[in-house]
Amino acid sequence: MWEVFKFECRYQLKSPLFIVLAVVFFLFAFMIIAAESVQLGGIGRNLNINAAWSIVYTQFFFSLIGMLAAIAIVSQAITRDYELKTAELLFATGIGARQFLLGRFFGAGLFGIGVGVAAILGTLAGSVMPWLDAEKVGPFTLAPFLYAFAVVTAPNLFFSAALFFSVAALFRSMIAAFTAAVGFLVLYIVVGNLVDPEDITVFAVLDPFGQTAFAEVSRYWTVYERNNELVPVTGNLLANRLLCVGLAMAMLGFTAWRFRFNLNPSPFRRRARKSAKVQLTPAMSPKPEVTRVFRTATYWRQLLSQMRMDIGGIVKSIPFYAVLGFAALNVWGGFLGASQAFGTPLLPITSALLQAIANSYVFFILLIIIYYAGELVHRERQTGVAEVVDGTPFPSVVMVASKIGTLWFIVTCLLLFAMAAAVLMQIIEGYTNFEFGLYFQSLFFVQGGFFYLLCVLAVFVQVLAGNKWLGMLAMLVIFIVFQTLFSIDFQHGLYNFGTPPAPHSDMNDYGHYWMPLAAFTAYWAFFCVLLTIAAHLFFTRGNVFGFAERADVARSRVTRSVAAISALATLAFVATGAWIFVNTNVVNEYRTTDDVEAQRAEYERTYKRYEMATLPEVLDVDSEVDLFPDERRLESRGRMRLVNESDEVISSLLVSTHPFIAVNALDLDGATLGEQDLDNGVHMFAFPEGLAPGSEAHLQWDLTWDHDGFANPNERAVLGPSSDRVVANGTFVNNTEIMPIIGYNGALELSDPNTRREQELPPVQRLPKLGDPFWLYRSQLGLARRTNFRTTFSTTPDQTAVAPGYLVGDVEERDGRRYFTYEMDEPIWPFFAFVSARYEVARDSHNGVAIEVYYDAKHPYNIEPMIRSTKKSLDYFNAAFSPYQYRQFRILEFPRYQTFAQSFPNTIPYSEGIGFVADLRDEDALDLVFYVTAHELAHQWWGHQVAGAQMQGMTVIVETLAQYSALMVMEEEYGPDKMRRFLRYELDRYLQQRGGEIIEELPLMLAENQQYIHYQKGSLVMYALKDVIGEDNVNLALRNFLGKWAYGTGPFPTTQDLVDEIRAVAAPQYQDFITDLWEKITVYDLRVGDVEVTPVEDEWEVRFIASATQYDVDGQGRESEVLLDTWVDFAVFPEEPEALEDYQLPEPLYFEKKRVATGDTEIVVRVKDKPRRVGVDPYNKLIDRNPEDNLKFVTVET
Amino acid sequence: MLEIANLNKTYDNGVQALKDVSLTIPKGMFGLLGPNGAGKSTLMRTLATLQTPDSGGVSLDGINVLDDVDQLRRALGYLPQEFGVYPRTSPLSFLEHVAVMKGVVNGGERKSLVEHLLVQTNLWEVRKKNMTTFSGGMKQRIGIAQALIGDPSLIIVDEPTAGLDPVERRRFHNLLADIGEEVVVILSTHIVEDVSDLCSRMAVMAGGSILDEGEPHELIAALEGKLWRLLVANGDVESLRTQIPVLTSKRVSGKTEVKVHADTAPEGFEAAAPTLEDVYFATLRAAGFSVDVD
Repeated sequence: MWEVFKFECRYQLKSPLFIVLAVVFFLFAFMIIAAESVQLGGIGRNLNINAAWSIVYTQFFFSLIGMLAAIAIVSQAITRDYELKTAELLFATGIGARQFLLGRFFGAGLFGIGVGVAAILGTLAGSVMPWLDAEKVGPFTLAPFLYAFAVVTAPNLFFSAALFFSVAALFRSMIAAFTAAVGFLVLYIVVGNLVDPEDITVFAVLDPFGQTAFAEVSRYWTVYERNNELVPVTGNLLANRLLCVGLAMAMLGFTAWRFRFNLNPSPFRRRARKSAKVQLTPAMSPKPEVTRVFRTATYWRQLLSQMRMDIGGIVKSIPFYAVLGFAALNVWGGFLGASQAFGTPLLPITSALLQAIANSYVFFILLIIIYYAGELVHRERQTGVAEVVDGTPFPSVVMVASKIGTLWFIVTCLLLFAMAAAVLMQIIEGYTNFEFGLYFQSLFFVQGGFFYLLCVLAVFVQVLAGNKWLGMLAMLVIFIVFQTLFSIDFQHGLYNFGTPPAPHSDMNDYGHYWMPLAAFTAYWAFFCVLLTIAAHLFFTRGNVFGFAERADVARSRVTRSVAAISALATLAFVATGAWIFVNTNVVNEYRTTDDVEAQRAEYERTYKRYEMATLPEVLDVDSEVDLFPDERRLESRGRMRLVNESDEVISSLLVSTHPFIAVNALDLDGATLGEQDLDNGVHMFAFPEGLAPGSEAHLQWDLTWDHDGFANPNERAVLGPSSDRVVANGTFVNNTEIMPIIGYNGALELSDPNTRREQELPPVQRLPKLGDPFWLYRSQLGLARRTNFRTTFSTTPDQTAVAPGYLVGDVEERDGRRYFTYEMDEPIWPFFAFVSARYEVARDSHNGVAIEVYYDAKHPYNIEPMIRSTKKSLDYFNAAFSPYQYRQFRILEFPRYQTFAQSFPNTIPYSEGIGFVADLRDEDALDLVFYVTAHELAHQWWGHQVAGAQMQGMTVIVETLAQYSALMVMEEEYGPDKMRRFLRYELDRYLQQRGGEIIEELPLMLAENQQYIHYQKGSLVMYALKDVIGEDNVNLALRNFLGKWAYGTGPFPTTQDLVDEIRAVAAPQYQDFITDLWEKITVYDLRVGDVEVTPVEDEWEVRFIASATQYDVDGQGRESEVLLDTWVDFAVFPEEPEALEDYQLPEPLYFEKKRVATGDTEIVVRVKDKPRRVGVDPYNKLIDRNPEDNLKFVTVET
Repeated sequence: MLEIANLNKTYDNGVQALKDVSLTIPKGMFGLLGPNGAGKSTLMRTLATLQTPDSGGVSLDGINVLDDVDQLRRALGYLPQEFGVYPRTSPLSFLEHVAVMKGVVNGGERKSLVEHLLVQTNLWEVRKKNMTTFSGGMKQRIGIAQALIGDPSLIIVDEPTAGLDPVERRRFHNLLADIGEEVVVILSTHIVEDVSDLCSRMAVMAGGSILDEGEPHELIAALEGKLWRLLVANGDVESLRTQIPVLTSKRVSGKTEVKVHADTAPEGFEAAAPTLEDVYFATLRAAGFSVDVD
């Protein structure tokens, strides 16, 4: 065995494969860490570049793609002899089969692991590069690298090596190993998608790569922990690692036991079918005369025959069906895994299934194309058929065309199969509106177009590479390069091979994405014609020796028709490219991420000094907005009445317009327009005589937002949602986009600390400090005053245009357009939405409030819960807080380009991507629609009635209170059980997302527009507060808060004012608890210790110990223990009668809230029914990083 | 008529596989005899358009083959020395495919042609079987069947009988013999019987050069009266070798038969009737190639 091992090592050392793979892995790992532009998804930008957690996590990624190394190096080690037909020689040498097998395995396996080590070394080298941002590099230690090797790389690659080596050895086939790998990968991804957070423990043990176990421990880790700590190898992680290595050894053992030296077909392969009945050989006939024809039709016939051979080879092999099976799994997994918030599933509408296919299929299809391209291009040479076929009189182009055609056939099969799987899913779910037209458009053009082009590229690369493995590797490298190009600001579609993404919306179909999609598809298709010709020229026929001869052969194949087609294709390619260039760079502006960031940095540097200038208040807005949806053009004209309400004379005024809107006219009476910076949309006005206190001026504007031609596909990535606002059906814009804004727009400042450093900006101040006297007088929704609002909003006759306010008079129809005039009868914050689409309208009313839902005809599903939620919410909020201020409440669906709902006065644009397509048929599931509707309606109070001062905590006043309001309505509608499950999701998200904090976590009271704090932690804190001091008291405090601050004109309230109101209604013993919830970052650790159950008479005595600890946490996540003294729930639960939803618990047998201190508490209680689980804080009302150990199963001795 | 003029080919590793090879091959079976590594396969592959020579020309019935590869391919039937088949395909579908590639586009004609060939090559019963499991002989028969498709006027058969058992070889010879005398058939082989059984003309090739060429009986006749034999004890061969240039030596019933090529009989030798094998060895020896088997 030692001899075989040494031989194998020598072989691998000399093999270019190992060297190439090692170099690629090294460089890839090096770039991930050393080039900040190359990012691996999911690794926090907030962490140190050399954070211990990131180093280890990166190696999980490499051990996953290291499967390639395992196959290429280790599986090859056993199939090599069969492929090279040297097996007979070997078997005769007298080495024992087992020695041979194990020698080969350990020799090759060593090099397989070596590839993983190359990745570790790459990471290590990258982490010490001198150009790294010193502020983001922690002190160097070797420990994470050694840990990564011992815990991740070595066991995982050992596992992969053993698995694929065994498959290859037992089936004597590389394709079997490759199929196993694809299957493994797909299963891995599908299962990964499907795992509920609740089931993580099971998968933590079973996931052979250990990533789940690693994630289980570290998922709630803070920045500090991720930077400095390594996950201890105990518990599930240890069990998992032992399982991984054990499984690998078992596989190897099995293989060693079954492996024999022989050339018979593998016993694991299908046995040949019994021969059909023997037919007698007919008598020898005279040789028939045949005619042979050589003309174009013949060449097509030859192509067909060749494709039949190529396709036959694939469809007759079992792995192909395995691939299709995985494909179906992938679609289903992708769809089921794509549930919306809080575990609410999606309706199986075609659009959603297509999204699932797009999300889960791309990677898979790429692998298939890369693999089969390698197989097909080299098939004739590998099998030896080339010797026979190459000398037959077919034109060489037939062969290349057949390879491409066969790949297209495979891709078509996969796409059709995905479609079949999707339709089957729809049938199973009882959904019957099959939109086959949409399926075909999406699968074969929008998504599939790229795959078809990729087939050509893959064939071309394989032809040039001349070696299957080299070709596959080259394809992987090409992908990495394209990925990298984008992130280093080479973002133009003219050199990034591929078609632009085109999101689908049921409302707007593919809308404005059609044109660039068609343009780039045509552009790259012409390029692929050239690639095909090049592949034809270089395709090897017969024996060709060396590059010079290849070039000679290629030259000899340049016939007149080849030259003509090349010239035409080049012409078409260049012409399409020029047309694209005109669109993307002349008609539109091509900007990279860096350009846009630099622009925003410049805006901040130049104009930040105007941030605290004295500004006039906007008191009247009157506008005409004309939308031309088919042309994607919007014209906005209007007047604002500005009044100087300060006691200072205003001498100059900065007016901003959205940088992408054209300014036709902008006029401020009494002022002269000075400098204009159109790139930044900044217009400086000067009042020659000054605008005296109390006097007013009128700002008139005429703006046009137009979309000519199409922009480069990176537009959406660099400009954000602005590119999807004015669309053919479902326009949704707001006043900051289509009207002038008074003063400096702080929202444009860059917030990511790294980007700011790159742009040489000072560290960000996300919001002014709590209590800052200047900012107390600026509300979060504007300046200090609300404004009268009136608009005439026109659109095409088939659309309905809606803006805040009430419709005045009738809809006017003239000049082939519809005019809607809206007016608000009381002042509102200057925050207006303009929405227009082809709508169906559902109307209802409730105690004098008109309820209207404007929805797309395709989405009638969830209108009822929206209206029901509106009614229940109105009832609750009116009673608990204050009366609803409007006579109307409208919900308006808008396209799924963005998925949120936003509350404007009496008007709520609500994305089709949430709520409208949620599947609420399962009554046990959480009602996402009900919740979102209640939350948005609550903003009519929290936001529109009372807005906070623009400083720390301001979003808590709108979002946390809206969360609380929605929770209370939901609890009333659905009972506390569902509420707890809802909160469990909130807890999970809070704990996860605080680990992604980019600057520092802050206590709730000081939150700086941090979503995981004002939404998730806010929900948890408000619910815990309500649970301890009572719903009535919380509502009283909120009523008092509203009474004091609603409709104010400054100063505006802060979270300090809110907490004061809460403290005022809470008894003295709860004050410390309120401090912990609001003013500190508090984390609890509650867990059940020993449990003892003894039957007493016909009851059960339950005795259990619960321990409790409390920690103060700083902004980076460092915890320090403090004394705990608070109210905690204790409960005993019965047997579970039926299947429970995630996080669901049955009615408790015993429940008590007790005040406890740090340490152990013993509970002794008698219950009537047989106990099953006991819990301390079982409903996770307190923030606990190990929420699972709050419950414990008990075993009852009978 | 196939004319080969001054073909040269040197591989990247410096091996000169073809040295100024010129041959004129008329219709009928032509045997190309030579040891392994003689350059036979290079010549065959060059004629089969699978590789290009560095210099020289080839013309078939007046067509300049190197300039018009396609014309040659239309006229060609080629049975390579080693070849493979598509996995999981049957002789039927494989032959159908080759027929299409050779321009037999009429479905009915193709069907009867393929059936005819299957019968002729005795593969009818296995025509729908997976070829991967076929024996060497069966595979060679598929090879000859595909080579015969399309009425080739040039048939190249490269080492067809290597590795076949005697029955298979006999059957193969019969197949080749049926092809007829109307086309050019080049049979490349290192087995003398192949040539003596089948060929009307032949050439001996070694080291990349043609050493001799002619009709087998002429070549044999040229050796007539110049070949001498002697039976000696096995142990005496070595000493004999030091005294006279032994052409061949082979064991015959416990003794060794030694043959010598000379104008006059060495002492003690008797006249031997030359065979084609003797011609072959004598030609090689004359060109300085070692042929000794001991």
